[in-house]
Amino acid sequence: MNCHDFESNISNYIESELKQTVRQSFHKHKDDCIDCKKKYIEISEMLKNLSNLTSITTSNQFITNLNDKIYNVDNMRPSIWKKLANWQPLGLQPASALGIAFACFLFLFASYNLVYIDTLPEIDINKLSNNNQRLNNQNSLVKPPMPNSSIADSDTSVSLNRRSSLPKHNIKLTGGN
Amino acid sequence: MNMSNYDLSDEVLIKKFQNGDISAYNQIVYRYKDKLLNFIYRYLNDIDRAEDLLQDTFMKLYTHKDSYQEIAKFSTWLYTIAANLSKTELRKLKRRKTFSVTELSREDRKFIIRGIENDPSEQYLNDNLDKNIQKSLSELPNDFKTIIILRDIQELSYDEISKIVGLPLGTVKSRINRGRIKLQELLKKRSVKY
Repeated sequence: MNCHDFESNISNYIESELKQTVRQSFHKHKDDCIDCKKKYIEISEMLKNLSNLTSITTSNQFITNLNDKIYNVDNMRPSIWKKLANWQPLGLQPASALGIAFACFLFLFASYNLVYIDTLPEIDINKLSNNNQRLNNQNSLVKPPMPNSSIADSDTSVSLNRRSSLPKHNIKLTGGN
Repeated sequence: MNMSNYDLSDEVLIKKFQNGDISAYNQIVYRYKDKLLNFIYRYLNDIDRAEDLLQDTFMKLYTHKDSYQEIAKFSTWLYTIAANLSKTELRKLKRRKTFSVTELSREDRKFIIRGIENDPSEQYLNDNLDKNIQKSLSELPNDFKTIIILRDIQELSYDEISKIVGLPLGTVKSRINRGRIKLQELLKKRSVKY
């Protein structure tokens, strides 16, 4: 064992944590090297002094001061964050309550969008039925064909008359009446 | 069987305190106040600050009692709180480099009032030795200082120290060895005769 190894093993030696073989070489080096032996003795003495250091005790006011601090903590009004953290609406944990509130908000938001922001075209049923009625009335006003005219003539005249008398519609209806 | 708090283990006491028994808290305070004060004082080298910090430690215990879980020894947990608070305080102190009479430790004040020359008694020699050790300890790097105080003054096991400082056992052992050698060198510089 050299001086460096000796130094790194001093604590292990003092704490009796060295293996037998290492312990023997430690002993041997301690007997052979005066400087290392001196170092070992100095450290051993220092350790004795450390364990015998004067023990300090708390002052007489320590417990009183501690009790005052505890009293202040117990009687301190909780902060808004603490109140929020401890808030349990309907007996729910804050996280659960927050989740339910968020779900409700989402539901309301989606419902609003469905009801008020509808993108389907608006169809005025009244206007539509009025137009149909007018059309029917006009059809009934068309004159019957003259008796002396041919079927082909009368047909043509009727179709011409009808075409000119028909109102112009923006909505083209297909199917139905 | 009705056991008094005095006979109960730390772990049972903290459990009782967690269930709202304030007398268990008082017992913990009485059990640890001097041990922890010595640890903090040796770390900070200022008795008044050490006492303030000890109060903070017990307040943390009071307000965070539910943070303790029985996976570690209670004493380890309590020492960890004290060690962390001391470390933070020492960092603050190092930032402020002001020095005043009020910041002198209780030992220093005692020393000034009595006067060195007029007291060549054994008590003085002991005080002087104590003072030199304390000064040398305060010059040790923090990593070594915590471990040396816990091992050689508080006499905690390697395993407990390893948990308190959050280092592997091997690192703790090697730091203890190096710390002791460094401390002995510092004491030698102060010409303390052993």
